[in-house]
Amino acid sequence: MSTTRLHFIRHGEAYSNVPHDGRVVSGMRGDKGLTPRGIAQVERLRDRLLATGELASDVVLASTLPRAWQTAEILAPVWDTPTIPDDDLHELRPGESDGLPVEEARERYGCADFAEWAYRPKSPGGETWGSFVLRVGTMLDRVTRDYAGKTIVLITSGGVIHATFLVFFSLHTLIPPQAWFATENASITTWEQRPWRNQPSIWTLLRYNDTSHLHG
Amino acid sequence: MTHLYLIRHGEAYSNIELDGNGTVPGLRGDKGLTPRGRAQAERLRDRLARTGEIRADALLASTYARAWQTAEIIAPALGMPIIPDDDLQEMRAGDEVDGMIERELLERYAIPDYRDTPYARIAPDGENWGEFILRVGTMFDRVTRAYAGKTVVLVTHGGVIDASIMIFFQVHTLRVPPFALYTHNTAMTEWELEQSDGFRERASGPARWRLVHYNDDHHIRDLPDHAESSPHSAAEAMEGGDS
Repeated sequence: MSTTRLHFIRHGEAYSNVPHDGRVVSGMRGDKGLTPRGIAQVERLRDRLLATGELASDVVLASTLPRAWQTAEILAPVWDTPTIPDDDLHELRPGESDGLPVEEARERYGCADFAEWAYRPKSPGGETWGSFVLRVGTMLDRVTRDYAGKTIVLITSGGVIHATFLVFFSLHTLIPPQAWFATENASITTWEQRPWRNQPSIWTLLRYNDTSHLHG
Repeated sequence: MTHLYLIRHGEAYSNIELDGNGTVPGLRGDKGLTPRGRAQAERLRDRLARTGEIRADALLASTYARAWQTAEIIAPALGMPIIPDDDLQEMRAGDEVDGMIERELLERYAIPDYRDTPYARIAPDGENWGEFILRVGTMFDRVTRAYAGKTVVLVTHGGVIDASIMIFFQVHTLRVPPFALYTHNTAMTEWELEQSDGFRERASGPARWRLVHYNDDHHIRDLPDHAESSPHSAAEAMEGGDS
């Protein structure tokens, strides 16, 4: 069995990441895409990847959430292969509050904190923490079977990158973890599954939150 | 906010002497850094001096030679004296075998398969996995309390960096984890102890560790043979105690 490698790229800065008046719950309906700063971040990442060739890959998958898909469009010149849309790369789905102003959603549905309300969605029709992590785990199983032995780029949202830790670290998947993350926009996180002596192959974290193109 | 920067030592002789003629690299047997390991540490020193990205309040280092030498090289960039801390040492193979030629070690003791026997140890006075993780967790608790609100740089070993992930994410600590890590020589891993969650303040609950970066090796990516950089994983740390 050969090595399977996953490169996760978080989308650039989106309007939903920036505190501002009129910020809305940003699922498929409400997502307003990248800010000018977010576009610039992704362009720097694209230029880095074109210069170094470090993310040579066989397959590129992208979330169809506007902020991720827009990121994928900017990065597309890096690879020869077309970008494959994958709805299972979506951020946690908020439910019927999608598109409502954040303040209004908070008044109507409360401010669901998964640390206290792990089994309740943000609003009716939304995912709970556990259903979200299950969806991500199912996606990882499918993608790593479909593309076994390949290098795969996944352009997605922070929550999916965090859920991947829970899956690969074998942590509790129904409540949020005890430690948290600081995944930046346009960052790279890399995992690898390779033959390991006579053991069943396990996942190796190679890097987390690589943003050297934004700081150098 | 309390920040911990965990830095793995540069390439050591124990990372490259894999033919059985190396020595068990404990306090006595560690032969220190190779020329390449020194060059890696110098790259890190120059990076830290140029960017000023770490405003350190304290610099702690493992007393094993490969970590201590790494700390000596980078210390000028941080402007800090080095505080020795034995609890930052790699998993201990045991005083009896420290410094022994590895081939002799293998003649005297079988290397256990820790996935089957997690409570085994190489030599009678060596650490087993659970003892090692407990020692490291106790060190993190002590350091975090002693330097609350400060930024602390810890020059240490791959196994200690693995342990930080297990401890802060609350992975089972008495058996080998079901994943691996591959911390490069002189790579930085950053943790912060925070009360806020992005721009949403955390209203309640205890402080929480956040992993900020893992395996940041930007300063050595263009060094020759970087791809051959000595591997490290939790499983390897337990097979001869070297990382």
